[in-house]
Amino acid sequence: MARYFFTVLCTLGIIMMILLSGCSSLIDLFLPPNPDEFQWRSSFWLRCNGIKLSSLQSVKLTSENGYILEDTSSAGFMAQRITDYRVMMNIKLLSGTGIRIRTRTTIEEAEKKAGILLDYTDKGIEIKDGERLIAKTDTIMAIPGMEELITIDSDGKIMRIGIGCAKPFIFATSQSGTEHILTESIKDSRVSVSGIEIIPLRLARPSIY
Amino acid sequence: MKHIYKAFFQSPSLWTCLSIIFLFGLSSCSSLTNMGSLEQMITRTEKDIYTITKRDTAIIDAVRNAPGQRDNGIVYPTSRIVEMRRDISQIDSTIVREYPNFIRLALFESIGLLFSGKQENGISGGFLGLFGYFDDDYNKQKNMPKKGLFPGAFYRIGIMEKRLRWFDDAADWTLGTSIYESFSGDMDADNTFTGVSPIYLRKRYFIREKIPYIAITPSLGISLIPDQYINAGVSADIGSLGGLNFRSYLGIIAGLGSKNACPYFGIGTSVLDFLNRVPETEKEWKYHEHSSWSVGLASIIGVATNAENPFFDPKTNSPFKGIIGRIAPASIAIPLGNNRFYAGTSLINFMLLGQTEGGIGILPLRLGYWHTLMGQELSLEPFAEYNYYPSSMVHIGTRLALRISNQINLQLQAGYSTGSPISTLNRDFRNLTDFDVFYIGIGIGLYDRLFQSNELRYRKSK
Repeated sequence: MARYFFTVLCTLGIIMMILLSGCSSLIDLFLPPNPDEFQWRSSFWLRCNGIKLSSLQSVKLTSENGYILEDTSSAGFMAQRITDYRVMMNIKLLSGTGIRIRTRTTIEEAEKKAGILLDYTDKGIEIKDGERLIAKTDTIMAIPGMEELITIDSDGKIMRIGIGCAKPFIFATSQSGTEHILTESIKDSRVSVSGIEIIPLRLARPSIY
Repeated sequence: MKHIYKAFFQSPSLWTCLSIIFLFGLSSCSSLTNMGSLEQMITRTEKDIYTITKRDTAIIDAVRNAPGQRDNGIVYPTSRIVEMRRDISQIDSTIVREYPNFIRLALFESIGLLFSGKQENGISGGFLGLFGYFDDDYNKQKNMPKKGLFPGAFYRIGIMEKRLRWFDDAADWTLGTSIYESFSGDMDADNTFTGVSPIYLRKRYFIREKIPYIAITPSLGISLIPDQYINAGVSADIGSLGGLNFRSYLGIIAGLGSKNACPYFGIGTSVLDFLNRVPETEKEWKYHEHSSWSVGLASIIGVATNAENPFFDPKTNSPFKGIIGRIAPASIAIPLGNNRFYAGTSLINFMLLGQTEGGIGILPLRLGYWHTLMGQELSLEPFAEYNYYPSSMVHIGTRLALRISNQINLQLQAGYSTGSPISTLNRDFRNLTDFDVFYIGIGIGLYDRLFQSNELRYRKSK
């Protein structure tokens, strides 16, 4: 009898698990997409994911791969499992000071691990590798209303940052590569980020999958 | 033609057929695409991938001069050999973070209904829809005088709710379902509604935002299969604490076909019912704090007792005379002293210790002390338990539990129990009378998770 009771209990448990997973699909079917996430297909049919990291109203999507950062807001994007890449984006300062772009960090770690920073402001640019200053100049600057192409190559230890037609900044870093590229508007600036393109250089294949 | 069209679309069988096709298709898609597995339903996984690049240059400088004299007066090629080796290695690593992927996940909810139907037609589910379940009156035929205040009962099995992100992420909206729900206003078929995977929309207004939460929850639900109905109501919720919740309901359920509209007021409880607020869904599982020493699906112990004959088969002479079965047991830590005293209960406590010895307890009260013997794996738990309905029983004992995994533990239990039935039990348990029994037994806890002291939210226990 005890065996019978145990068998019935186990069977019920298994049926419940199957039904619960069915219920999960049912609910997922009715749920709208997360309003803080967006997706697009970049070159090579690469699926890219973006996420609004501040309030929904402060990041306004202008196209599937472009947005405007309002006030002091931030958004990030990535292509899963791509840690070595070339990313290109058109930046236009609409008002305020400028934009900060960060790589070699993650959304979760951004507060404690600065990664590689590019501050593109109306006073000039500043590139830092963590605490180490790579470049600081006022000969390249953001001009309000003028769109500029920013290219970042993250290739192993070598970083290459190009702003418009200026000579690119090439340097070596010891920071580990990550999938994320984070953008933040500086001090209530309004900045347009558009035409984001991620070109994969290498697909990460972690053994811990 | 218009009438035929109207009748066709109002036909319950059409909606039932469509619903069956829909559910079948859904489950097929779910199986084929591996969408919505149980693991995915409970846990949302985030992965961050890192690539660490190492570049290494080795320079090997060797000079091998031949022995003997050498004329240094003329130009002579050097024997120095310089070899430069450049290596690059890239190591990928992944950091995985796991978060809860639900707002509410519950095994079972039971509600005792007032004013939902006629008393003489009542199913006599009793208080919380549970206390009358083992009585002789339960689900007896219609038009009979019945005891108790609660003519109806509302049961739900396998409830889940997910965050609904709409209206610019308005707070605390959820969309949910349950595997099965059954509303019985009374025994009249027109006041009985059954739903499989009904869809419920809920919004919680939290009055207390700390554990245990207190919330007012308006809800609107619709079921298409097998009965078509709408259920609108509001509930006052307290919980969850160790998976236990208490709720009062006010609502109306109305059939979309020929069935009645039943207003109802209910008082209910639910077990293995876990509620997360939205900020908790952004907190990794490993950082979640718990209120209980143990929460489980069931605990079953085969016991050797001093009863004369076994409960299940009186003709055998087995030393194991019965079982102690606890459905949905929970031991909630009391934040006093070293937090090791606990208050426990279970949905149903079967104490079937012999052919006539034993009883049944619904939501019994248990007080105990949780003592960890060895490396958080082995615990000793002396306890005293009072079962007040439908049998009045006092049960004292001690349990030794060995954690095998988070899902299963092995138990050795010894104790003493005495009591008697205080209501007329149904025919399955009618032979249980007054008893006075010592026992010792061995059993298992199924999906019975024993927590460690550092997992408790009080964080002060040693």
